[in-house]
Amino acid sequence: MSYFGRLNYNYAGKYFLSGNLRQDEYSALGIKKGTFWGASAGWEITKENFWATSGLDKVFSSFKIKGSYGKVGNISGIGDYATFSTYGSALYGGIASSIYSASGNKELTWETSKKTDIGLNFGILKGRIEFEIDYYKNNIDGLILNVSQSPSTGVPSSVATNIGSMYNKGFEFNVNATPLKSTDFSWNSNFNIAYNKNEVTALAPGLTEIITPTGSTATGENVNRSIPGYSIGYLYVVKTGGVDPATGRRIFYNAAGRAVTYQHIVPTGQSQWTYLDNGATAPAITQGADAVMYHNTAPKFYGGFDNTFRYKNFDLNVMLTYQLGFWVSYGTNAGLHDQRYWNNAVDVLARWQKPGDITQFPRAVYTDNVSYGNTIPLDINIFKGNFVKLRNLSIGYTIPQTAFGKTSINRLRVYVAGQNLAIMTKYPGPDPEVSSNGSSSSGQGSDRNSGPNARTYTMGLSLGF
Amino acid sequence: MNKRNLYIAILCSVIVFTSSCKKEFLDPALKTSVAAENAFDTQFRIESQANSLYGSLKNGSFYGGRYLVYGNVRGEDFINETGNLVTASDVWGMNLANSATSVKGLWSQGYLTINRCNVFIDGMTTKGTSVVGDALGAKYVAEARLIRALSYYSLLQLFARPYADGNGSKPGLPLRLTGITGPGSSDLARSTVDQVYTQILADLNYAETNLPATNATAALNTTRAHKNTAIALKTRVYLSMGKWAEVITEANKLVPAVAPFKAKVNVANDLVTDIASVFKTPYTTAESIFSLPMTSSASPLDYPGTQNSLASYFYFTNATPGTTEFSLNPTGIVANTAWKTTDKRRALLFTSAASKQFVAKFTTASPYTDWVPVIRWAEVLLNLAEARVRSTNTVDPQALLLLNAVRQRSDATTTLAPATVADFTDALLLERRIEFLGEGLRAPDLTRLLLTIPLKGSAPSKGPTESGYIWPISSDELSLNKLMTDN
Repeated sequence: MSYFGRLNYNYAGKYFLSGNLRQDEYSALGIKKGTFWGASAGWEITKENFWATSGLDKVFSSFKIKGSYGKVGNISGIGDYATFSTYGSALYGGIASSIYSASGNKELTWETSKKTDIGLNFGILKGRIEFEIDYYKNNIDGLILNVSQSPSTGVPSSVATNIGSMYNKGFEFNVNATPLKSTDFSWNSNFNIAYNKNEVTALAPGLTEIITPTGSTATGENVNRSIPGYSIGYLYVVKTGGVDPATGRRIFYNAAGRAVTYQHIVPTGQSQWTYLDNGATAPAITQGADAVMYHNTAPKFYGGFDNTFRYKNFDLNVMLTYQLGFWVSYGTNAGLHDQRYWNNAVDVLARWQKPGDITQFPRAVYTDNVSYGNTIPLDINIFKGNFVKLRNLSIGYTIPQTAFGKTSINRLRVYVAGQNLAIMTKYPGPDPEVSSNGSSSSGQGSDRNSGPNARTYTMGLSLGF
Repeated sequence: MNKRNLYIAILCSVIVFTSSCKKEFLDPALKTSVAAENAFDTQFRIESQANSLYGSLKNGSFYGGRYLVYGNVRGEDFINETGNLVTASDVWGMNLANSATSVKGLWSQGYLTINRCNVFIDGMTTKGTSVVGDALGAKYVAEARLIRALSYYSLLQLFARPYADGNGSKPGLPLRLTGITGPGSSDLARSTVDQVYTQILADLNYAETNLPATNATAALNTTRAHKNTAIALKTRVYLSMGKWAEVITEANKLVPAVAPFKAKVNVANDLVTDIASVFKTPYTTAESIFSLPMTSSASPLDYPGTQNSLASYFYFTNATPGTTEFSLNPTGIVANTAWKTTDKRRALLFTSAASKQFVAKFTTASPYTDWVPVIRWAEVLLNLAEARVRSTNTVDPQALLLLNAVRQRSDATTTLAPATVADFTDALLLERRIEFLGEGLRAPDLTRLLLTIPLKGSAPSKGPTESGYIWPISSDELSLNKLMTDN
């Protein structure tokens, strides 16, 4: 149920003001009502008299300053019955039963964003080059995420919860240009780059962290952790220090920074975890006790470079996209080096074999799934995700209208296009852009047994009457 | 500024929309599932929830499969054939990680079951008992508390030091007794082992008082709790605590002083003539005090599921017997000559073409719908016998009769006659290894007495003070429960 009001004001085509106010109620929330508003202002400087008198109109073909502030509500990704604890059907020896299977949150309410936007648009060279520069800050409160509860609560599902606050702020810079334009040939180009800083600023009372699991509860791993002071879905791993040349065991660093080695098969009287410096039994390394906040998964810079060329009836589009300044947990890599009976990467052949061997691959021990990070997420599987992708390449030819004579066809274009044809990256996995957790905002940068984005080829005809 | 040419335009508009919907749509009612608010409205719903608690216990990750698997393969009588960490090769190898499938899966399913019991008990208190009446309400709560007790007991056997180590003073489990249906309850510290056992016994005592003496059918006497179920479980719990006098008190409520050792009261639990019949259709003999039933329904799932069933671990993972996860250790119990070749329990073994032996108690083909025994009458008899020997420190005559009752049921030509108390307790443990082979009791038997878990194959032994003697705590719990401590 919604109420909505809007006010617009325009003074002489120079000054623009607008405001809006709305109230919404949403059935899937526990606290259903939300009130939102916004205001914006714009100034078309070119309409001012001084602009022409000062001669600035010779340089700039357009110039506009705008700003806005508002509060909006977000409810995307919430299940229809997120507030309900529900029972599903089950069987007990053939007898129908009704089993407690999902937990709800009666306190669930709107996630809100307070958005500030300040921007500048201008064109030069009679509009052949247009610039757009924006600063934004988006404060998100009551951020909704599905939160895992500790297993001993026995809560059967993760629970949609307003977990805290975070912000996104940054700059966007956009250039549209037409570097070349003649009767037969044209080149349109767009380049954009955005810098974004994301930080979780607070978590709801009682929450100290949000762990986002990759995979099922029993067999998955928890490499993404969100806590105040860091960007969302930060990688949370145990640090390692190579392989001990004397024993061929992986060296792990515990919370105190002390080196601990691991042996998978434990001879009687020895221990699985041992301090490197004195050989004494050490407590087991666990992610909960020993992991560190290691790297961000949210890109710092991203953008694209889109070019369209036309020559007579031919057209060519080349679009590149890029993301920089982020890291990915390549969980698949742990599986590829795991010492169980399945296909392994061949680089493990350079493993430690005798005392004194200097190598990054620990001694091979059948069934060892710890030393390579399959059970505890390790820093060795974290890689920079920086990439440039050839997102789209298409070539088309528009058949001249003269070819159709008096038929009603007025346009026919044949084209070949490819998506994701090439990627430039140092990331060792198939594609740093994918996440095993889909679009979950707190679970990005976890690539465990995920395939790359599909490379697609398209051939087509487009026909207009 | 030229005012004459100043063009003033004011465009002012105010628009108010009201998009209206029916108010009741804001408070939707669920169409395909039952909401917690309505779960205790009718006796039918309460009854079907009570069944779901057993169903949760029966989950293949817990008592319907893996809990028994772990109890078997931690002991010395099995050899791992596949090296598959998902199917407990690390449990067998005594080198579990905090994040192992077995550790995380058992922990979470155990607590999922406990919370379902708690939610049910809370719902009965606030609503359900007023719907079904006090007597029936107490019966349902008794069932929930029995399942909760059994769940806590089972988790204690793997995740906490045995009671014998410091009389229960060591860290036990987070003791959760109220239902949790929403966020915000993740953190809870461990209670001591003794505190958890105290709660288990309180639950079982309540269950004994409020459960029916018998249920309507043999099937219900096997699959739903009755007074004997609570009493039998108490003999197990007290034995694990080394409280011999209490074992005797509980067992004496059921077991007569002299043969035939058939339950005096309530359900007429008894040793059946042929042990093999316990593991065959219809699985509802007088010996089966409590078993978990299975059918072949896949949706909703009514069998243990992939990589969970006893048959798939110990008998076959496809149609060929003897191709599976665990064979019997050739130097383990099967090599013991005190277990005669004519003993009928030897007929519950399978020898493959490669001369490896396998447990053949659970042999129903995929999807492996063998019922899973939780506790049977033979265990009550042996629990009583052991408590009598250990408490009197003599070669107790009733204990000797009980031991021979179990032995001679399957091996009529042997009469056991241990000469000393030590020989007697050894004979009792040996009998349990034979009688309950494949039923998950061996590892708890070793740990409750703080005995070394012997080596088997390439798996090392674990002394009672070594790490690995009990399991590490689930890494998920350590991550999400800030008050939890590792073992």
